[in-house]
Amino acid sequence: MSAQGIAPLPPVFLSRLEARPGSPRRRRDFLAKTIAGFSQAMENALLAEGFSRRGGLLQGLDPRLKVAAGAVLLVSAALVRHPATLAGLYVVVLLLAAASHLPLGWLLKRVGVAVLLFTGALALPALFLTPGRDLLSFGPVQPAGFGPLTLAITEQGLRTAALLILRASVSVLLVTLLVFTTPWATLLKSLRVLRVPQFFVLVLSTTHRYIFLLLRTANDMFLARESRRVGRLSGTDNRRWAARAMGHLLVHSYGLSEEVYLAMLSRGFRGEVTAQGREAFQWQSRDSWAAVAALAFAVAAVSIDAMLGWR
Amino acid sequence: MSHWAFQGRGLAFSYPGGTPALEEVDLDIAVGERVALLGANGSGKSTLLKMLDALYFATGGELLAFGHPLTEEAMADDAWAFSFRRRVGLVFQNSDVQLFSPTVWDEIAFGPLQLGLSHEVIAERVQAMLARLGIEKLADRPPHRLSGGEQKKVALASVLVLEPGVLLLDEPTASLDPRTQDALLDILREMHGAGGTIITATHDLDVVSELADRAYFLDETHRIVHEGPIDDTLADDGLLLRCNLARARAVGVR
Repeated sequence: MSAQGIAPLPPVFLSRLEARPGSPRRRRDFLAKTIAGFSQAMENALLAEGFSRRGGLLQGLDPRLKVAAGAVLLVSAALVRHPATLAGLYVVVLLLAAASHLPLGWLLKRVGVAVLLFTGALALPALFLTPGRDLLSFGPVQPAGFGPLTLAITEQGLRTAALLILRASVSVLLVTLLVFTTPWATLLKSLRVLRVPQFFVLVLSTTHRYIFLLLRTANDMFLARESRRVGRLSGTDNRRWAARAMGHLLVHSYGLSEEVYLAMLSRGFRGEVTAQGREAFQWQSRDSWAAVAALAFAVAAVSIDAMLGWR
Repeated sequence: MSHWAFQGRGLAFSYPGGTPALEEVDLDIAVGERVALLGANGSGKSTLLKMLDALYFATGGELLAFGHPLTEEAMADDAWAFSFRRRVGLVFQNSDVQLFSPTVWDEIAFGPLQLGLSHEVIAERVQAMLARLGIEKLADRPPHRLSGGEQKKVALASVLVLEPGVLLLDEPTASLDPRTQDALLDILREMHGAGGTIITATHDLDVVSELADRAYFLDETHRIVHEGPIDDTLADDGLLLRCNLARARAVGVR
């Protein structure tokens, strides 16, 4: 209200924009979904830290063992070729997740989306391109400039795609389990202890550290834009703005990396990282048992797979 | 040992592309002094601090640290670089760039580790520093989950743990609440009492008299336009206006 008690009129341009509001029941637009995505990413990261401090089976094991056993199981998942063996591995990893007090539904959804997104793109062509017995045919279709074409999903293609997705699922689940049951700093330290090159660990560490800062910046940019938005914007405008925002973030991250490097130099960094964790790891008898169990399980998986004789 | 921490004559610095950041800067800062670099945003204070920390090197003029030339060639000598980094520490304005380690403990241990201190000494020093700044409970937390005040304390701890004789601070009180500002000032007073040199770049006139005894003023031409005792210079409204450090209305000029 103004000093005279008369409400000021809105500027003319605002009333013009308000004349074309979106439908009250319109779907959540691109912007809202992006903001929600950023918030979700941050929430997931916070959740991951919480899981690693729960008192479950894997949380109680030596992180060095978890990293080494994880690597052995990843190799065995890469070696086995029978879907039944891979399915068995998948079930065992899920049991480990349950014993580590991770919510299975949430975990499966998270892993499933990641696998379908990245492996699905590879598996899809295999369905049609792998030679073999036809299971399902589409067509004939005639794309412009081509002759009649029949697309068919083959039995061998289906097997190949299923195997690819199953193998990726086991691998992603194993890595997810490792990350969610080990505090990030401890995980990095165990990588260093296991002679993973310092440079690699430093890159991993700083990437993880600054992804949050960039997420926060991106989130603020989207919110700042949302606070000034009136009415509904077209898809083209949204895409144009998103491209500019990405460019800005790229420049911002470049400047940030320069400053971080200077901050490291200022404290004595000379190109080679030296690192030391706060507490020493303590190997206990249960770690020995777990190591034996992991190794035996990996060998058993590969041996059973060989007996099943999948081609 | 030289009586001077830093001596600069005709210092200049330009960013790639030729944008000048500093021109014709002369300064003398003795060991044990508390000096402020005052100027508006963009006047070149932060650039000068980075030059004093041998992160940027002068594109003109000469800068000496403890009587030695502070050049890129000199810093390529490991022995000199090691000695310099142990004696001079910089607290950046943006704590986010300074806190890059996975936990607060790792962050504070980073500097001593790079300088080759033994693991036992590092563990002792880090623990002592956590206790001194009252941040023991943060030791296992990731730095990006801390509040602004906590981040500033960790950034300060990550430099003080090196026990530098010279502390460079870039806008140390920016975005800090009053209680954290007081805590920071107490730490700096303690360090100065022990003979430390403190050089602060700021445009916060409310606290500068508690941070420094002498000031260099930079204006928007990136030059030092005045130098003198802090209390005298803060009373010079004309100087503050010229350096864009005070609003005309606040000092009664229309």
